[in-house]
Amino acid sequence: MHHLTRRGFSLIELMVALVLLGMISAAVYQVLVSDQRIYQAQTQKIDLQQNIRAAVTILPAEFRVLNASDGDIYAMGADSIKIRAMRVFGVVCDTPILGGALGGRGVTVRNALTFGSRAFSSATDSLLIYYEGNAGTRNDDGWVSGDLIGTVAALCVPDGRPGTKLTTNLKPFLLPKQNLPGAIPLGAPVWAFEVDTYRVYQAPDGQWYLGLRPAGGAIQPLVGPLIGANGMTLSYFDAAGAVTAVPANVAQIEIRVRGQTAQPIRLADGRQMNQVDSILTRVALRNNRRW
Amino acid sequence: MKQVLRNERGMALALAIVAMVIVGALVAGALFSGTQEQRMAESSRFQQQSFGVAEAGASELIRTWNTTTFNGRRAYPQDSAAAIAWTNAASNTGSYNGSVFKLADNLYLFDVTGRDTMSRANRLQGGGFNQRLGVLTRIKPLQVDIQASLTTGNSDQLAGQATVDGNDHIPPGWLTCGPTGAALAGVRSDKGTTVDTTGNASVRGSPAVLIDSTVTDSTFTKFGSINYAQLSASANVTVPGQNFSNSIGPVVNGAGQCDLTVQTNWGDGVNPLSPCGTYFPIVHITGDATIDGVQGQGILLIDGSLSVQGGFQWFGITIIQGQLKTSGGGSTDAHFWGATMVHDSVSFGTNTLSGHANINYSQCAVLKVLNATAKGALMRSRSWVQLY
Repeated sequence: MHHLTRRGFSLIELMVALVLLGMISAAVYQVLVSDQRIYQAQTQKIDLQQNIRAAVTILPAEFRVLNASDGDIYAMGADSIKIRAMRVFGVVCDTPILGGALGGRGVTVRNALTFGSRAFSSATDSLLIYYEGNAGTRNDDGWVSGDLIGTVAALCVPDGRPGTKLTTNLKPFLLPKQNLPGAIPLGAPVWAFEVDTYRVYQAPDGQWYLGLRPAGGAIQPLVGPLIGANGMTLSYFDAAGAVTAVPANVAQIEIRVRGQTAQPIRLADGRQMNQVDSILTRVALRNNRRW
Repeated sequence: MKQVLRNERGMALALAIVAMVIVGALVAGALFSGTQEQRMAESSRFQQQSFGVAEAGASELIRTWNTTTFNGRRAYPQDSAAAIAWTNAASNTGSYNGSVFKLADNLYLFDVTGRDTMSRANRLQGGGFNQRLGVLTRIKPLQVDIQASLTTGNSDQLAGQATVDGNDHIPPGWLTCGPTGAALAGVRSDKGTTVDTTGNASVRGSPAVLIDSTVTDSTFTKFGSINYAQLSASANVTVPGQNFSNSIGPVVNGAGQCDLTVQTNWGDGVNPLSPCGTYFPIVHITGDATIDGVQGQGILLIDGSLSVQGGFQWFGITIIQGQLKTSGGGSTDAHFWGATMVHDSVSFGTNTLSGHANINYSQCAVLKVLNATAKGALMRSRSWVQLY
């Protein structure tokens, strides 16, 4: 009778198999860990780059529209700047009554030609209204300012189309501007702005951020984490390209942002540290007075 | 006999496949992240490019200001915005289009959208990029030294019913004028000249006659940054000197539009709401001219002398390098509404004068003409707007 002999694994075979399995598993594990580390590092770097790129999208958009020569920069430093941040633009379709009291003046703007990141807000906004004065010359053209104290839906006077009536307490006209009837004509542009501060600050989590503090509000993080108190530095240049410390002379602002990853990244040699990246841009202020 | 173990089993293949799947997934993930990052960086670049195209487009539109298309409109929404078709930027980095809103007689809003080349060709996922911005412009008016209803470089004689009035007038039917302004001098003339009135002729203004040593040749030939020759070169209508008789008047074509091809159509100041009411040409006559009627508006430049008879009315600015002679006036109130400047001597209302021969200062007519004939430039400040 023929017996089918089944042979089992010997101890040596088993051990060889286990060693081989172990080596393969270790190699696979190393690959996995390495890939995981690279993946995480890559993700963090991408976040970092997006972060600092966001900074040079937000800040130039705010700075570009400034008119430093007419006082849009309230205060400026290397790590902070306080500005008139333009929020809404409109066009007058019912003019304010001038020649008398400046308080409670009503000016209606045309809805079809109103642009902005949000609506007019009497809680935060002030107005800049184009002053024509003598229509025969451009030399007296300028802007009169006032606090916005109310908004209500209204109709444009010449054509009955939808508008928004803005009630404002105008500030005294500074010479050569004069409080005369007709000084603000139909079609005059209107800007609404709020006073905002951008600065580097340290949050309760210990990290440094670029923050935005609206007038009367608390600071809130916009971009970060940054490498520290010098995570954003602003440099100011006049029209000739020289560094200036006078807000009214600023013609260009250079923005340098230095960010770091939110979490430390494990390097190939086992050390863990935050990756750092930086970006630099310079913005020309488009709305400075030309003469 | 060697036996084959038929159900031999192992894990190597399975392990290898699992490992490959995991590694593959991680590599794919990293690749995906990298690709995304690259796309974002590219997007940022295209966005910047679109922004540059929009700014370049706005500058180009201002540089090549079209007075016929832009100035010839009524303020929005009486007239819609002038559409700007897609145009390639000079840099070849993209195209721009947009609209031009006339906000007031002298204010315009350029609403320009820029697209980079890839976005314009629809070669980017998600539709590509638009960057929209606005530019506020204001008419840069001709710098004409207007301090009187009539400015002359030589002596003047007024007779008959002739009247020169420096008080501000609003022409009949001009409904969009603001309140009248301060009175100017009636006649402002060079030092050493005389202004004589006889009969019922009169000169009014504040003062009636201003003898001013600052009146020089350049008062009549230099207007800010441009001179008389350059202004003449920009004329909409250039005609030789001749007797125009009664041929000057508005012409409307079959489509109900002001016919700008007719050389004797010099706009319609009598009926501002008519199709030619917004047409304010610069008319350049290269010699002596005689005009009896009917009417026009704009800037009238005459290299020689002008003789006006009958009921001709002109609304705007008149600059004559020779002499001016008026007579008659028919049933109309005036010959000239606006400001008149005559380089040589002026002789009014001779014995042939009948009816009124008036020269009335009108700030509104002057401003309307200056705003309608000049090109725009960026506003003095705050001309740049981010549109959303």
